[in-house]
Formats: sequence, C-alpha cells, structure tokens
Amino acid sequence: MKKEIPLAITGLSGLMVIVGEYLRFAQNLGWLTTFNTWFQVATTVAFPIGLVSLTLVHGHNIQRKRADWGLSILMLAATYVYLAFDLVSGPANGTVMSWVYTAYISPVAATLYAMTSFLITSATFRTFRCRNREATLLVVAALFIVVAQSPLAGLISHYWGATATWIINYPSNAAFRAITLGAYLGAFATAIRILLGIERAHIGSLAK
Amino acid sequence: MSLSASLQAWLAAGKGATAAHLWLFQPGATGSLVAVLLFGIVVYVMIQRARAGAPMRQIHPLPGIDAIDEAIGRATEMGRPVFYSSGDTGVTDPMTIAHYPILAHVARRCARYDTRLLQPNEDPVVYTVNDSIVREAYLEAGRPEAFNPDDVWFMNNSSGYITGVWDLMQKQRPAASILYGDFYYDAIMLVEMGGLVGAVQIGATAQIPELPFFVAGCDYALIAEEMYAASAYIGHEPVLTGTVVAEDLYKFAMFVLIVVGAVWLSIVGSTPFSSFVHF
Repeated sequence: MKKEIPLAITGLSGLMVIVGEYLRFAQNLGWLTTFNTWFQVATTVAFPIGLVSLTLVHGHNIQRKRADWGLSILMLAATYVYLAFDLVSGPANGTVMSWVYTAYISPVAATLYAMTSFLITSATFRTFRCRNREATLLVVAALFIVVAQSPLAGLISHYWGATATWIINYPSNAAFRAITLGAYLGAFATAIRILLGIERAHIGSLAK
Repeated sequence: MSLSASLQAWLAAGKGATAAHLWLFQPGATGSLVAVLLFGIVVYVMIQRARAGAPMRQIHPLPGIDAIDEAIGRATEMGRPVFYSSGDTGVTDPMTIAHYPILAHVARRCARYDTRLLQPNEDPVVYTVNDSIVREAYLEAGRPEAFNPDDVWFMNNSSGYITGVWDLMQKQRPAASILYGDFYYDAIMLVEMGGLVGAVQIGATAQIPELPFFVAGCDYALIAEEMYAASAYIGHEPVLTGTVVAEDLYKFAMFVLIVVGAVWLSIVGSTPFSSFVHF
C-alpha cells in the first residue's frame, strides 16, 4: 500500500486536472483554483524542510570546522535574522525586511545577472572553436545573422539582410516549432507514464 | 478561505450549474481535447502491445546518456566529485519530473564506484524528492553508509544558487557536471563554471532559449524530447519504450497532417483544420 496510495493519488489528481481543464462543469465548480490552492499549501509545508536542510549542512560545516566555516555562521545568521524580521514586521513596504530586500538582495541579483554578459562572451569563445558539427552550424548561422544586423551587410550585398530574415523566419522558426512540438509530446508522454504509474522514480524508495 | 467555506462554495457552485452546463467542453478547447485523447489512445495501445510482448522498436542511441557512465568513470579515476543540477523549477515542471530516473541512474553509478555526488537544489520540494532518490540509489547499490546527507541539500534559489554553485565548483572542482532539467539564465553560468574547472559536461533541457548554450558549451547535449525519452533508454523496459514509440507515431501523424495542411492551404486557400482547432 505504501506504493499504491501515492500512485493512486497521483493518477487521480492528474485526471481531475485534465477534467478541470476541459470540461465546463469542472470550471464552474472552480476545480483548478481549488487544486492550485491545495498545491500552494502543500508546497509551503515543504519550505521548512529546505530551511532544515540548509541549517543542517551549514551546522555540520561549523561543527566540523570545515573550510570557510565562518561563512556558514554568516549564512545562518543572515537567514535567521531575516526570518525573524519577516515574522515580526511582515513583508509590507517600509518594513526592515523590505529594506533589506531592496537594498541588498536586489542589487546582488542584478549584479549577478549583469555578469551573464561576460559569461556569454566566454561561451561565444567556446562556440567559435567549432568543437562539433552542430556547434559549427550554430557559429556559421550566428555569424551570418550578426553580420546582417550591421551596416557591413548592406555594403557586401543587398541580399544579405533579406537572406538573414529568411533564415530567422523559415528554417529557424521551423526548427523552433519542431523542437517545441517534440518537447510537448515528450512532456505529455511523461505525464501519461506517471498518471498510469509506469514511471515511478518520483516516489523514491516507495516505488519498490 | 477555510476548508468548510471552500466546500460550501464548491457545493453551491455545483447546485448553480444547470444541466445544460454539465458535460459540455470548454469553448475553444474541443480540438485540443481530441488531440490529447488521440495521443492518450496511441500511448495506451503501445503500452498494451509492449505488455503483450510485441516487438518494440529500439530507441536510437543517445550519446548524452551513454556518456554519463564515461563521465562518472572519469571522475572516479581522477578522484573528483560529480556535480548534478536538476534545474530551477519546481516539482510540477515536466522537465523536473523527467530528471528523476536520470538522477537515480547517476546516484547508483556514483554509489557503485564510490564517487562523491554533489547535488545542490533550488527548490525545497524538489530537494526532498531528490534526497529520497539518492538515498534509495545508495541503498540499492548496497552501500547506504556511503551516502552523505550533506551532499544533497537545499542551497537557495535564483542568484543565491548560482553564487553557491560557483563557489562549490571552484572548491570541489568536479570532473563531471550533469545539468538535467529546466534552466533559465543560469544555464550559461553553470555551463561556463563547469567549463572553467574542466568538467565533462552533459546538458539536457527543453527550455528552447537555453538550448544553444548547452549545444555550444556542453560536451553532450540532450535536446527537448530526448530528455524525456532518456528514462526509457536507460531502463530498457519495453513498456517505457512503447510510450516513446507512441510519441514517434503521433509525431509522424502530425508531420503528415502539417504537410497535407500546407499543400491544401497553398491550393485551396483555407483548410478545414483551422476551424477544428478553434472549435
């Protein structure tokens, strides 16, 4: 029963979502809204587990004085102080929590995001090495499109820009749609495998 | 809203629904429903055929999956860990769901070769599932004592995860990096970090904007549907293979439909399909 109950819950939930998506009576009854609420409640319950994991890993770092264990102290202190502020003042604007978020977390996230430009440059360098057939094709197409965006293309040939537009609109778009179609069918086949209980890795040890 | 209030609202809505509303499909969704049902039928038929022992077509070789053993072997020889990331998203993402059998496979191999597996997570729910899978894999390999709970952990989400992984990569210098799931802008960052420490990289995603980064930066890339077929490829189970064959059959049918539609549209100027799709 340890195996059958989770599989039955999975199958039934999936079936009810499909019914909620397609049948009007289910929409009138607000099934999907109710399911979404239940899902949010269930996932919220899992968040403290993440906090416990974080605390245990960094607690072990401090206890065993592993490399950079001082940073683990800082990490735990920041986490719990932030949590305490959140519990006391709430997430509303003007609170200490919102100040910490705006003044610290947002700039750090923005800085990190900005670093992608350097990494993209580094990735471009890797790509330009043409390590395999696919990467070579990617480089040739990318260079062609890049040149098409510059005034140089007009000087070389008037057909360059038109050809680049054609590449974007036809071969590239067709490939994009083909990959999307394959991905959706693959995702759907995976969903059916899970609904029918054929794929069981997600229930871990209970699958045995 | 409390549970009792929710139930009352639910029952009230049911009373309000007239007979005319019952069993009618959502407007504009009938075409989609028919397509879903047809695909479901094809998958069901292929599963039944596989269960009946009918010969199933083999899945074409997936070098990205074959390379997993090679990458773990390399890490074992070098005495360095294997890094595994299951992406950014939550447990409901199909790409996250598709990674579970792969993680189980990787963890079993790591347990067998006594190679350290580093598996930080961005989502607490995904973390709990991954933790269970890795524990079970070590148990299956007969080495439960080799599992280190500190090696599968909830790290943080978004930027916190990226900086954490960056630090991890620099310190632990994994010899293999397996990225399997739904990634966003962190895809390029993870690929570059792996490249900088000289790890063999295997990337798999169906997130189309990130695919070029995996194709260009990883040693092996699994594109979209390949990542969903990988569990059948690893397991060599006829029933799982049957679902992949069904997928191919359906795709072929859609290809024929697209060609017929394109020719029809070119000759006649309109097709009956468009009205069906919006029916």
